[in-house]
Amino acid sequence: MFTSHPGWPYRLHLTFFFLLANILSLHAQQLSRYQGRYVLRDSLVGVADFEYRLQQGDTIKDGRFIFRHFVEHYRETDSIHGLVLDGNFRNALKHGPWKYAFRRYAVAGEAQTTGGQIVYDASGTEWLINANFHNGRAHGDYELVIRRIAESRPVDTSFYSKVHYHDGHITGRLIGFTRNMRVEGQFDEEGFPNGDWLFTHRTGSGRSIQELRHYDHGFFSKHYYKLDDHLLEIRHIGFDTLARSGRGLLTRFPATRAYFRALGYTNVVMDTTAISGVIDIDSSQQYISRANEFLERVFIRPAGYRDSNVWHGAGGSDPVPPIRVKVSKFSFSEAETYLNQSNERLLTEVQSLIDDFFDNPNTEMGRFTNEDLSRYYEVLSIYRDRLNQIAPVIRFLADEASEYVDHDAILAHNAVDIHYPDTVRYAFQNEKLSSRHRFPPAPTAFNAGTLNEHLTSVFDDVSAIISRMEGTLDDYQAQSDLKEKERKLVSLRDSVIQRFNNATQRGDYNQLHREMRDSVQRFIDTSFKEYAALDIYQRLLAVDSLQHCYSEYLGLYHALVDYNSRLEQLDQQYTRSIWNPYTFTYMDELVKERLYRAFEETVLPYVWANARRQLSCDGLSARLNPLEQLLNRMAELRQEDTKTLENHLRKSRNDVHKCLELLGLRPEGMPATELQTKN
Amino acid sequence: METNKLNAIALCLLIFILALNATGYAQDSRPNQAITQPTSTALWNGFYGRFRLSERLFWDAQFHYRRVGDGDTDYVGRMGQIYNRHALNYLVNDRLSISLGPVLRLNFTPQPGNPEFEDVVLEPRIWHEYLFAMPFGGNMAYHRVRIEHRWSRSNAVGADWIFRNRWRYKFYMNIPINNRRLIPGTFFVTPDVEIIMQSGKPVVDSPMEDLRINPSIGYIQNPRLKYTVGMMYTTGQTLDAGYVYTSRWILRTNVYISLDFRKKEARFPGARLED
Repeated sequence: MFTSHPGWPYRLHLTFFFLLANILSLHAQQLSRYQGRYVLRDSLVGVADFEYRLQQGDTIKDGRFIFRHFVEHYRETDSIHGLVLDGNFRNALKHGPWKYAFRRYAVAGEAQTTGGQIVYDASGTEWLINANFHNGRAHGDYELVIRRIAESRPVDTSFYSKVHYHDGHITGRLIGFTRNMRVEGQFDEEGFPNGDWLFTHRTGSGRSIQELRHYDHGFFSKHYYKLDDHLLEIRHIGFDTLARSGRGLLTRFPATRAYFRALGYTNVVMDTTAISGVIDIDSSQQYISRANEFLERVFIRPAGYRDSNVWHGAGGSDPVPPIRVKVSKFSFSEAETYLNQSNERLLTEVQSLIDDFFDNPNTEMGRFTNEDLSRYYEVLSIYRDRLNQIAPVIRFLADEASEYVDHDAILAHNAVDIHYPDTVRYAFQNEKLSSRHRFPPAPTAFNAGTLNEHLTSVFDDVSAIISRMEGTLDDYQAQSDLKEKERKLVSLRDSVIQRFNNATQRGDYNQLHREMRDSVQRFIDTSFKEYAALDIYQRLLAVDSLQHCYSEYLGLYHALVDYNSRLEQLDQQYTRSIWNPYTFTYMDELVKERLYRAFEETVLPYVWANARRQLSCDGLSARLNPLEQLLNRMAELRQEDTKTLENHLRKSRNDVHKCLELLGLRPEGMPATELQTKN
Repeated sequence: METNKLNAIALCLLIFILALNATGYAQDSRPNQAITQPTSTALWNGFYGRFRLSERLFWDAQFHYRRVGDGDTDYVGRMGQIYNRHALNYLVNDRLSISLGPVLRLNFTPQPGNPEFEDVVLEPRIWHEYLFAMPFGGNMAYHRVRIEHRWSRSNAVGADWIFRNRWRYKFYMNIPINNRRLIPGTFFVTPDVEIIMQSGKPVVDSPMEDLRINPSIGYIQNPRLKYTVGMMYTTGQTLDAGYVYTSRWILRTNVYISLDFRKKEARFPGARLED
């Protein structure tokens, strides 16, 4: 073909073609592709695959972008959850269709293989946002979807809404549905809901009920049920449906949760006279709440999933803002706002005080034995009841949503009748008693100031009562503690007695235990009797120390196991084995016999008798010190030259005083007369 | 098992000794029945010392002061013998010991004042002994084989020296009375039987020199000292005429002393596997 068209037009075309190819080639060479680890929103780590080019050091996304983040719980629960963000960039701006999907799937069915992969079907739920962007702005259809997936196929859509954006502004119609409701509505040019919004509810019996909400450019002005072309008006008391009523200040703002809470408040107090006998009241409120929930999802968080903006992380787009609405605002003054917040805190505090009082098990125990406690139990019951009555009012006023409704009208419609009795009637030990109590005057109006005054009085009185009863409750607490401690004390006492009586046939029970048994038993009996004779307050003071004392006796049991073992060791140390060539036997013989005899027959019985005598809690371990010292000294003497000592012992083997002195063991402070009792 | 083995050894030895002397029975001009000499009496006071020299070596030192009845005085009438027996004793293990050593016995005249007899005649011996001990329960039983080579002569003036061998087997026990084991403070009884055979050229028809039945009672003072006292009955053939039998009652008192001559640090007992 080239050869058949020679001449300059041919050369011109050829030149243009090469120039264009060159530019395209240069452009194509500048694009790079990234595949790998990617951090979305500075925290979400996943894998991304996208094209980009570098321009003055900046990464300019250009082309397809896919980000995946999945967390596997496969080994534990056969489940996986995570998200996919998929769309196109053009010159770093979102452009074209975008999809955000959050999936929570579990493995379903049997494993299959496709090529080199093992594939499972999945079942679960998918939260989906399908959007369209143009140069970074929402532009085109915008869908919110929640659907259930079974064996890898969508089987049930539980939420769907579709709106249309133009250059970042919502406009046109909305269509949507849930499992039991269809919704149709429209927005004006400024993005306000406008005109009739029709909610077709499917009842349990399969019948359809149409709810109609009329918006005047964002202002919710009329509310009807539509039955067979008849409109039954629903009046929301306190919700100004006349934009120019002059009762509130017309305000425009992005829809918030507070706006929908305000609608909820009006549901509570709405006038349903018109629909009475036609639609069940409870069902009606259910339908209205269902519609509110739908709108809340669509209006407040068009780009949100679990409080995060799904488009924000990848960048390259303007925010998709909430839908704006208009409302008559009944603002509180700064002082009123402050008081309303204070009232809520005060209410919480006084309710907490009362709850603590009733939650205290000693209150329940004590009110049957203490008349004051019984009386105040009744007083606080009255307070608790009255506070429960006014709590919704206080919380309503503290909620910013109350400014989007005529709160005075709502309170007036939902008047709370509170009064306090002059006399408190209560039962105490099978008697019905009554007593005067000065309750604060009941609030005459439900405004911030009056409520604050009332709550402050209630708080003061409740605090005073709690403070007055604190000592009594502490006493009951102490008694309760005492019971627990005494239970442990008795258990400890029984353990000591059982040990020293060898009730459990322990292998380490020995002669020392047997000889100590009666002294221990006598001491335990006496000390416990003395303790039991004390009054409750003295017992409270004494129980810890007696428990400690009995623990020491339990320790004494183990100490005697050790002493017995050491006595046996000493016996071995002071015995030697000698071969007798006539009998062909080994014969044991005491080493340092005079010393050991003095120890065994004179000193040890004396020291041991002293240790057992008149046992008490005081200085139990000190009482065993002489025995400890004696055993240590005998172990030392086995290694020493004791010829001189044994010579001295020849004459004084039976003189315990002399023996102790010779052994260098005379206990300090022990009177000589006591030492010589063994002579 | 060990007991049976020892008993078998002892029995074999006895048969051997009897067989060795069997030829002596074929004698002429023998009476038709045995003649028993009148029973004599004696008192033997023995001192037995066994002194430990090393882990296994002991010095055995025995001394006997023996008197015999004479005339109207039984047991202590005149001097009999003084007896010195020494040996080195080797403790093979806790169940066997072996001894070898000399004996020098002084035999006093049977008729003091009679010039036909020398007042004192020496009798040297060489002896070796094999003592097997067998514990059972808290008791001990012993098999003792003692062999003596003796050179002796009568007290008669001008009597010739003769040489004989003595083959002795003794079985005895120590049975504690007041304790379960033989420990200090224990009284014990000792059944004791010994047969003494002899051989040699002068032994024509009297191979059985003595049969001694010697029950005694003893007391262990401490690991180093014990005492026994007992009455021993003996009977046996006379050397010159085998058909003439002697019989004796001998009151025996013995003191047994064992001391350890080792240095103190060497006195730690060896490890025992059993009591």
